Amino acid sequence: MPTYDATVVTKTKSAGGMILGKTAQDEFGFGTFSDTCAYAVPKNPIDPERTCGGSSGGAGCLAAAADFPHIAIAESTGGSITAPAAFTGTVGLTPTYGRVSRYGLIDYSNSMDKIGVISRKVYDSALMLSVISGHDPLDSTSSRAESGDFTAYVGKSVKGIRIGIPKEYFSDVDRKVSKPVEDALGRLEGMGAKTVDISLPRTKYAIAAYYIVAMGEASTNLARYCGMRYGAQEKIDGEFSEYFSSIRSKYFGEEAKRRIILGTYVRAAGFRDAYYTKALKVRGLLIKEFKEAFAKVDVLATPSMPILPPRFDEIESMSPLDKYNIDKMTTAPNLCGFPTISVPAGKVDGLPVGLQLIADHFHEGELISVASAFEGDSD
Amino acid sequence: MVDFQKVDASLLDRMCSVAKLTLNTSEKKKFLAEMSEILAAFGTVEEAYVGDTPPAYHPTAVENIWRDDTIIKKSKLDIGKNTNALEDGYVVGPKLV
Repeated sequence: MPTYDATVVTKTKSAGGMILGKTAQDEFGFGTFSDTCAYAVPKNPIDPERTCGGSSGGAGCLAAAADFPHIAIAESTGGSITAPAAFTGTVGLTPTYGRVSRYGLIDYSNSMDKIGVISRKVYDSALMLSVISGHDPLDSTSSRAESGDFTAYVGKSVKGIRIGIPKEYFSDVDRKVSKPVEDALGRLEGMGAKTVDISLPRTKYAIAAYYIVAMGEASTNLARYCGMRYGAQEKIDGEFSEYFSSIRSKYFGEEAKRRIILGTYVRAAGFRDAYYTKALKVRGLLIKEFKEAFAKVDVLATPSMPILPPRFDEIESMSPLDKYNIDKMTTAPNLCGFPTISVPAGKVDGLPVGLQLIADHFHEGELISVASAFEGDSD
Repeated sequence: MVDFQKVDASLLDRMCSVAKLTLNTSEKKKFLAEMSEILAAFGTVEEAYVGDTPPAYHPTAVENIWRDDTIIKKSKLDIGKNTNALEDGYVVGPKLV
């Protein structure tokens, strides 16, 4: 049991919510399929042979499966809210970096971690964001941007809204996924939205830049896992380095070890400039490119994930790099701190497909308006 | 230019030593093969022309937020809640030297 509440928990309780429990996720958020959970792997309520997505897979599973009023709190570093929302047919709202306090959240990559929401309906996500957002002096990266009642954006007309369609996000995508997303955009046009073709050519650097920054930060954040104040503990034996190494080697899962080693490498003397610092510069360029796009459009629209939810046996045959490459829709907006929402765009072969909308920093309202209009048209 | 794909056993050992991780033989073999492939993919960032773009350490402008430095009195018992190795009110750590 934690010795204190996270700010989002405190705010939820203060607003009259009840915390029912914790949901499973990939260890430290290190995964796209919830296949690296330390305790139990959540199975997709639509097809238990398939993944819920990750890393917040338990939150997505609960949001899809529970038959009582509920909203799940989730976390995203590189797409960990969008993936489970898309794969379970739910709504996933990832707020702007800094919009929601991270006090009480275990750091994975502190320049990207964001607490958000997975729910059945857009209104529920908007409601929960209204509750948990806002400045918090306990989080040094918490934004002072005005928050407020995000449910006011639900049901707004999309007439005149400009939706950018970045072509790079529709290539190398399973046609079973891109087709319903294109149909969804057609329906939004039918409601009065205007679509605009956009190009974001630097997207090709996003996966690499994201993983370099994420792993570099994870390797230092998890230095706290020392077997004394944080994480597993055993009887102290041997000198400091022996004890420290034995605890970490015994209790970290395979993906955690992989990311810590790679993160150590990309920040090591001799490699830091070529990898870590370069990736941070690429992030600056990507932000600039997105900002230029947001000068022309209100939101960007892409598929949430490039594939349908895979079966666990298909995931087992993937290499770590194959898995990282699945994050191609979500790494750029997460690396750049832009808010996103994933809303169900239909089903193919009985499996859900998600439409991802991306907005400029602190423009969650536009996302909620467009997503709720689309959802209303789908119901 | 960095040779992104050159990862050998001694480099892996060095990284593990810094990261305080001990890998068994099968983990070493697996990670060695994977690291070369992953780092080659990470090398994609080298192709990006960044000019004089400064590193973006955070995606949005982040200002340091300072609170009053208020002393909160905690007993040694409170402080020791997160550790099993409490002795006479002190947290016992492994030997450094």
